Amino acid sequence: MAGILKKLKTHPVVNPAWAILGVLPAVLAVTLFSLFPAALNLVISFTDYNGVAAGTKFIGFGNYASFFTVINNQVLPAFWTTIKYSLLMVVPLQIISLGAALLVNKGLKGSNLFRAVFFMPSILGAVVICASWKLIFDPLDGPLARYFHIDSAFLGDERFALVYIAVIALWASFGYSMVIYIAGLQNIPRDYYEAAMIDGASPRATFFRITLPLLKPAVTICLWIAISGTLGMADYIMLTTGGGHNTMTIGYYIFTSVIGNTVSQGQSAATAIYFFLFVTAIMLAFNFLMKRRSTEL
Amino acid sequence: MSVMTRNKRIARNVALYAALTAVLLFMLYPILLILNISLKTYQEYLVSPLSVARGLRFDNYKLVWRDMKVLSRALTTLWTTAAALILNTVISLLAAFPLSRAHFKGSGKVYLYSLASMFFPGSLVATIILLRDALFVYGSPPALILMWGTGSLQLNIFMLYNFIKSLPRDLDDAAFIDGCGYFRYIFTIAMPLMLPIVTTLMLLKTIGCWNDFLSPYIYVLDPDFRTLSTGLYLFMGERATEWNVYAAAIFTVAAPMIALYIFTQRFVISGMVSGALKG
Repeated sequence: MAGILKKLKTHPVVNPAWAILGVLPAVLAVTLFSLFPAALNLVISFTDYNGVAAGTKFIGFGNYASFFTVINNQVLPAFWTTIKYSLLMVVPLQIISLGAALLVNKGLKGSNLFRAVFFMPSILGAVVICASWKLIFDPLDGPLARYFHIDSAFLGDERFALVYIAVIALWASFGYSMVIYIAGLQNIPRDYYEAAMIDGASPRATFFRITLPLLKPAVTICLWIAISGTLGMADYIMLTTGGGHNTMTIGYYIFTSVIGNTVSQGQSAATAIYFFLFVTAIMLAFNFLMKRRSTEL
Repeated sequence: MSVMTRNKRIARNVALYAALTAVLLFMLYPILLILNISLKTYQEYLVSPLSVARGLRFDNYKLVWRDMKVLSRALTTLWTTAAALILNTVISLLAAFPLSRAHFKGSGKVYLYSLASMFFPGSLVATIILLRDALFVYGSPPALILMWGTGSLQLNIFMLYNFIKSLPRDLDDAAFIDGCGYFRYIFTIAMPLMLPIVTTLMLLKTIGCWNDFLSPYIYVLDPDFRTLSTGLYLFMGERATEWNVYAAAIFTVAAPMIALYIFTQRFVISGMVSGALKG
């Protein structure tokens, strides 16, 4: 029955009109809330629109040109801060989450408890996470100041505030990557390890010659999540430093410029386009690198 | 020799447990810290912020209940989330079934389009214009319900699409030949079979909505309709110095999710990660 049905181009019993009717709301929603804003944003970026449609003029690439000059020199440093934050996060996150995955994956009793607790921050909101960590980073009453006598302004430190935000984000997100790494580890056939053991391979060699190469799909996924997540990050900045102390990222900059009306909305739209190109370029470069690496292996 | 390896193994396990427990404490510490501080009076917090609280005093929680309007905000969170869940689930189920079964010509292209839309650049400026000048809901709860209800639609369709592939086709053909209506089939026969994945997706969406403080902050301007997470964010500004009260507020908002997580952690973990793994 199913075989015959597959050969027919259209389904003999199902009226395609019903099927199309079913898909319609989703297509409408996606078009309205994804495609339309993206297109409208592009149009606005060529205008001096500022909240009122009447009197709005097309100004060509004006917003794109003034991007480099007008906006009180805040935007370009914000791009730089975003890159710094991404660098602070991406590699340490992989090391910590892979390390945790290796520990949890040893098959000890109670592994599930550890896994569940390490993953727990993923179900806590950003406000809860950042507010709790503000207590830990309290320069006077926090445990770091009281127990370890670390004399620092922490989230108020001009040079290292971004590092402390990265610490919070690492705490909050390593459990997620860890679970992906655990799934990756469990996909590696046991035989490989047995063969390596019989051949007398050291644990170190086993890790670098078997585990790591075979984990490549998981590594790719985790790197992708880490890079795309850190490039757009805005909420932690908003909740910890409010963009002060050299922590203004581009994601949060765009947010404040729209919500606070600090620049024209045409200008914000153009900044969003630059941001999109920036993220796309990095993600394409990442894909290219991962593909080339995989043909070498 | 076997004694040697046994001792070695025990030593290894002790070291492993020590490392795992250290990380465990590090993960729990922030939660325990706020819980502890939330039980202190302001005086107690000022004198010794880190010592163990002298007793179970819930005065701070009473203050939070009143001043953060916990009941009203919890209700707002619940009904907006429920509305968004229904919208989200119905739209994605209705789309995933015809797409997965390729019940009309060009369904492959429609599926690709819906997935590709994930990569369209989001725009806060344009979304606010859309909600305000075209849909006339900006600033009120329907705006939030629309944003939550249509958010993550792509991921849902993707997950359901793959799950439906694993359901037997013969079942729907038999039902259709017997004259079962198309939508009746989706909701009364296919959906019960998809309950595991549908509930997982709803669970994830609920957690996402509960924790989302930005969308309600941006799209709902009416102070009577703030959600708990947004309320918590605004409360931070109001009670900036009274950390004992604020800690109680944090714990009030976090506790329901922690409780939910304790009972559903297996589904939550596999659900949250499987989207990434399949993509």
